[in-house]
Amino acid sequence: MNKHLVKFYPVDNGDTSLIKPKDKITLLVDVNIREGETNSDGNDIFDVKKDLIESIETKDGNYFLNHFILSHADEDHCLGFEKNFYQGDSKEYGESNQENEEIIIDELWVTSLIFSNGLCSDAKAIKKEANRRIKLIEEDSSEKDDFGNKIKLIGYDGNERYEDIPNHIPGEIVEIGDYLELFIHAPFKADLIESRAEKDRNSSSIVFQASIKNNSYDTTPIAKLFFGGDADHYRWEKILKISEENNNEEKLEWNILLAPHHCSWSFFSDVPYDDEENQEPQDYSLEFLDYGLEDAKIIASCKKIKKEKPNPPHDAAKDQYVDKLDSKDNFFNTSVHTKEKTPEPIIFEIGSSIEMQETKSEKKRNAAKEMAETGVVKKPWRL
Amino acid sequence: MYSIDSDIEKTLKFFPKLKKQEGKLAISGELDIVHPKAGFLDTYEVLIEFTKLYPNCFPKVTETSKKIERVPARHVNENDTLCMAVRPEEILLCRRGIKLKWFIESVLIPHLAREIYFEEEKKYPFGDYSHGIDGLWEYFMEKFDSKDKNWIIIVLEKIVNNELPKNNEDCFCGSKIKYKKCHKYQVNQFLSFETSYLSDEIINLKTKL
Repeated sequence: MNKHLVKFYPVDNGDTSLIKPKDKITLLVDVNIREGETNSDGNDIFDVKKDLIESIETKDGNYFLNHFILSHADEDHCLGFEKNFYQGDSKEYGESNQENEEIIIDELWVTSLIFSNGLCSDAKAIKKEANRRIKLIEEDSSEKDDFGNKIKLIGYDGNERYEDIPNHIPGEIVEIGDYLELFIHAPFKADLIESRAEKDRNSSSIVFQASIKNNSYDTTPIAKLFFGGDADHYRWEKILKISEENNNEEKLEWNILLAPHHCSWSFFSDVPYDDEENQEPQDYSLEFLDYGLEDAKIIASCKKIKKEKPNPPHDAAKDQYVDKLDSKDNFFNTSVHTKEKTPEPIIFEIGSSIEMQETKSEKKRNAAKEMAETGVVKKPWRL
Repeated sequence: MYSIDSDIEKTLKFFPKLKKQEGKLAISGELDIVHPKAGFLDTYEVLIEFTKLYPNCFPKVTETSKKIERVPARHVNENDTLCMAVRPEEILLCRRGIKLKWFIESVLIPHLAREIYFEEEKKYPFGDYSHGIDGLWEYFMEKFDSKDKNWIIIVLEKIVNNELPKNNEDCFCGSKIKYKKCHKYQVNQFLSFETSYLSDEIINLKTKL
């Protein structure tokens, strides 16, 4: 495998995105691993865990991720964490953890709002794990930088307690391996307010541009990916303004954009779309979309987008996105890729260009068709 | 001199998961469907039985793993055997006798690949023929490139009665074009059939004119 991979899993209204450059570093942005066979619409639930462990690497025989980025601590972004990810000292990873195929996270990225109250059980598990890692730093443990112990706080909230914790703040460029570079756009200090966390975590979402180079010696990236969790219109407005003021326009560019907040209208306006007198998208939102590069693609990680409610996903938001793309075929909805009944991950292979990979069922179907074509009989019959 | 035992023995060397059934003229076991590049696609358990007419007809194949749903749309005969080809097509392919290895590789495996495609797409990759006489008609209409059933019957009867024009005579279709440049190619596809078969098939076809 000598291409970079970016994979968007079908998880209904939620996010699970895997970035795997060709140096095999793995970076998972949010997670949503559901139980059961079918969802409320009767469609198959894609086995994210099974695919994930097939996609990532092992260390000492155990599955691990180099980085896990929790955009924000809402359940649709961390569902299944407690069950499927290892929590604790990786040296104590035992047989039962191995049997459960628990994934070890080498470096955990969270915002300080993970330490707030009112979290779902999976977010509480992340909070506990984050606290364990932070304690190692606070105690200046010799193990603080060991495999499975690292943590980064994204954004700066001014809290003295976290001043010694390694962080990445907006405006910072983070190099990960030989090919990947992340530009941190958000969260902003003003949005990391603990007292507000229970009501609104979306505004504290980690927003970043991930640039991937085709070759390690290249000076310009071949692909720019944009992730913004559930950040709403106000945050995107600020990101746009700050980037333009600092001549960082190229940090706004994207070849692939994960539509914020599961393709909801909140990216375009704070006025609900139901308000018939005010259905106009904000100029800032549209301006950000203009930073889409040639043949850019948008991924809506959400349920099938329908005309009717509920929101998200929102059909009107989809229309705005599609308007900004070179082709309506560049807009993808995870829940219907490529079939609504049996959705599969949207996978891009990035080499000298960005190519969409066939899904497993498409590969199987096409291979079966090719084999059928080799036959001397093309059509069956029944007496 | 053709020997079915030798045919089976030679073939089984290529398909190690298939075994000869004790005391029966049949083989059974697993058949892996493996694409040369994409790799393994699926496995089917099959029972392949040889009738007295073999090798001048396909052997009977039953898909014993029952992965193929037993519904009319999947072309499984009432006796549970797979129907892989429309009758005249099978007759043409088998008129000089077939070899088992050829049958498995060129008919059975592509047919099972077709079924894998159906599982994914709920349709066959190159379509299928309707059941019974309707499907026969579809086959003949395709071969003659005509939907005019009465005309097709007339041509088939000319073949049976040996009433075909000579190469440089006008074609029977009334086009005033030499036969060799008109319908000869289409008619030639049917000259390999025994006239007795064609006569029987004309009777069958006439039931659904």
